[in-house]
Amino acid sequence: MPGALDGIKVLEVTQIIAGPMCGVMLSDLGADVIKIESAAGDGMRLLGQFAPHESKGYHVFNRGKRGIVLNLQNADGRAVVHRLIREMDVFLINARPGVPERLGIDYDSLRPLNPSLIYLENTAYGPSGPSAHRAGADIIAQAYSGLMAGDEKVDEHGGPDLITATTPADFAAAMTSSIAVCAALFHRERTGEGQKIDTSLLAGAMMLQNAFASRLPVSDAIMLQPVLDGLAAVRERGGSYREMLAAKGGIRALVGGAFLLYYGGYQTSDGAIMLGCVTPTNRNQVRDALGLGPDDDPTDSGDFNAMAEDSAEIVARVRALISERFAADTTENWVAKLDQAGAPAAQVNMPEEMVDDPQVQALGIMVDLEHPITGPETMVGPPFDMSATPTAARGSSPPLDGDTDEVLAQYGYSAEEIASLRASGAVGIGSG
Amino acid sequence: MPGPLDGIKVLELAQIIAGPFCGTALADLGADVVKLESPQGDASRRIGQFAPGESKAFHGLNRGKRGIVVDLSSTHGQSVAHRLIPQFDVFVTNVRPGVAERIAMDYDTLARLRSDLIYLEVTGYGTRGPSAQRAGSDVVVQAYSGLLAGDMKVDRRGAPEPITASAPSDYVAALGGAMGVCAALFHRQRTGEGQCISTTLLGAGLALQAPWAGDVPVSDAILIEPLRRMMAEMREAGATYAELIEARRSRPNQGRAFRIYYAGYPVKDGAIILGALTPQNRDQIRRALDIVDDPTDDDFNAIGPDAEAIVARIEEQIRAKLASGTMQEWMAKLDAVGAPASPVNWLEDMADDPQVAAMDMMPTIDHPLTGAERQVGPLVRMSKTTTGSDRASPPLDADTDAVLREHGFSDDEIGSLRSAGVIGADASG
Repeated sequence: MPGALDGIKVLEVTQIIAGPMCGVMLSDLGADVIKIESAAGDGMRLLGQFAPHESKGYHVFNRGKRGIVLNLQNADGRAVVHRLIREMDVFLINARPGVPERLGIDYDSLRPLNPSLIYLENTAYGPSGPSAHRAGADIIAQAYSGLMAGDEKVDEHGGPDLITATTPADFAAAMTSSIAVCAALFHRERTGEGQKIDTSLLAGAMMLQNAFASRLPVSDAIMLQPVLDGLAAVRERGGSYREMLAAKGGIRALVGGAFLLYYGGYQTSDGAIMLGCVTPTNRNQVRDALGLGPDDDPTDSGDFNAMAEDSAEIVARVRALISERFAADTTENWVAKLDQAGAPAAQVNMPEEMVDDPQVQALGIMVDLEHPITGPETMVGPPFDMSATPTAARGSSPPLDGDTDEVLAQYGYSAEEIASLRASGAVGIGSG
Repeated sequence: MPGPLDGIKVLELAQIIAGPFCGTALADLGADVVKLESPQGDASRRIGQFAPGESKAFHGLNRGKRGIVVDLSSTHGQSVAHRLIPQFDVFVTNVRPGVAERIAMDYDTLARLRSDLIYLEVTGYGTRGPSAQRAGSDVVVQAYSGLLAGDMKVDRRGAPEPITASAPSDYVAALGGAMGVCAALFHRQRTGEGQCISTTLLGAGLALQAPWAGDVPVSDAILIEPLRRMMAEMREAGATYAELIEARRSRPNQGRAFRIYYAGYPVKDGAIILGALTPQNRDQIRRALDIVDDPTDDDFNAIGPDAEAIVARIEEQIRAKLASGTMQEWMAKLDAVGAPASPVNWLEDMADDPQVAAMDMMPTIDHPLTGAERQVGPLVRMSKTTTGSDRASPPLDADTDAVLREHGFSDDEIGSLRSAGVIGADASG
């Protein structure tokens, strides 16, 4: 069965994560994705390079694509884009605002060549506003959007500690970009109309916090205003980040303390366990498994008041009790007991070991690919399945300049034309 | 302008984050989303409740929808849902595997009622495999997928800490689901065929770690295999979580030099983040900070014998420089050279941030019970099809009668369903 986007042609000028990952998603859905790189290649090729121009990060964020090298500073190189674009359905770019215009590949330049084109531009801060032209990266969006301070993590020097295990703003932007491209394809199928789509790392990071970012005056008067007042007071006297966190943290700990008893990690006799309870039913399941009665833990009873003076003390007492129980047995035994009770809990796995996890294998999440230069590899495949139009990883990432000749020939360039473009440095990595 | 999914009707049977946020994303694209709740309502109505059945989280994750209450634990309630289904294009659910079958809302049952239905199921671990039936929530799957350990955070009691205050696996599963629905609508438009889409929190957690979760033997032989062996040996010897994380943190790390310029530092009156990804970015930062003797870019061997001392020296220089000035001074210098940097902002301030305002990222909407509120708006803007919605989250049971009437139920039928307790909120709740 072909994928849902079978036959759809995507051209991308992207690098690092947000743009490239969008291309991977579209490729997983069946689109034919061609990645344009400069002769130096996507910057990601150099991050953790293990063979010339080949890094694990690049392999992951570019699997399933063909790769061509064009020199967009060169008028002939640009002309190649203008010739290819007529046969494309989708164009993806993540560059700083202003760069597409400078390279002659902005929406207004490409649309006359292909009026039904779907053009997606992802930037750090969005296409307009006071920060539109500033440089960005995932970590910048983490900081700017409040995500980092919202985590209330501080390093040993009093500096902010980032979310390191992944790049949340990049992924959020990549996924929203893919959703928008699919929605725009649906719209084009119904009406024939193409369009421009704008996404940003900032909007992606804001989305990840939509449950907390909102302003809701009725609720905020009680819960949020004291936080804002405390923060303002620390700022007024020029306080440090650590002091600001402390000023902000108090109320969250107070209000969220009881919730976090059953939504957080504990040590077991041989490792660690994570609880993820979001309902009173879940919390009762955990209490049952731990052998805790209503007298041991009053935090779910109707008369428990999280805002009352003694609530922190009660929460601390319950936490000590839960910690003690978990410390008395192994992770395996606790997970089995909690599974039995139906409560959400899991052992804390290490990412490098997930390839061999039986659940991951049962779902077929990891896919085996063969890279033309670096050989066999196992990658995280598409994150969802479709029954009529299966998602699938379509291949490995392209070597730099791997498919330039093939793609140009497919789109009508003769061997002579390709050779002369190569000789003039408009396409290909040249002798360097 | 209508949205790209204008006219598409979505029925959502979902709670907490992953399912509901998928519904919101579809609503932002113009779909008419009807949320079906049990008489007690979505559990997130009670997380941080500030009015009965109303919480900030529920408002943020359910804006743009209409809400109906049907008791699907009764066959009578199921028949109400079955009568609605033929008039819907998309069904979204995040109930545990097995539950949909038990309440006759599984794909096979619903596809018989509407053959071109697009059915999306979001589960914790997937619908098959040894963990399929286990309970999952974001933080649990963060733990299972390796995200928690990958973030290497340990709380002061030696236990693991969630990677973030947000729910990354939930959001990525929600977005993956919305993407699948849009692609499936495109496919249906071309072929007339509907289908079932499955997305999981586990797959989402792994996708978020794609660069680290993968196996590239040529590269892993040097960096990952020794780590795997070390972890296995330590576990064999009974190491604690805190010890395992400390060992991971202190292993030879190719990325350490990179991380000097991709990190947070305190300034006099707060904290600043540097986000350099390229040698050019690092040069810009060095210029802004007047750092002249940094050898970590040219042919620097990040796992060489002196690397650690050199990296520590440069890091200390950067730290001392930044600590000597204020946020405003440093941001002006870093912006002037074009370096990626940002103040560490507070989420509570973001509704009033000038960039957020300029992009209209937090529009004001009016909730029928709790009044005006500002919410994070649509994820994308599209030049020909509007995104976003001015509808707030539905109060429990707010639209039950209207939606049923619109889908062919008479007032008499609605009245008798209500008095039989098949539809409508739990009066005691």
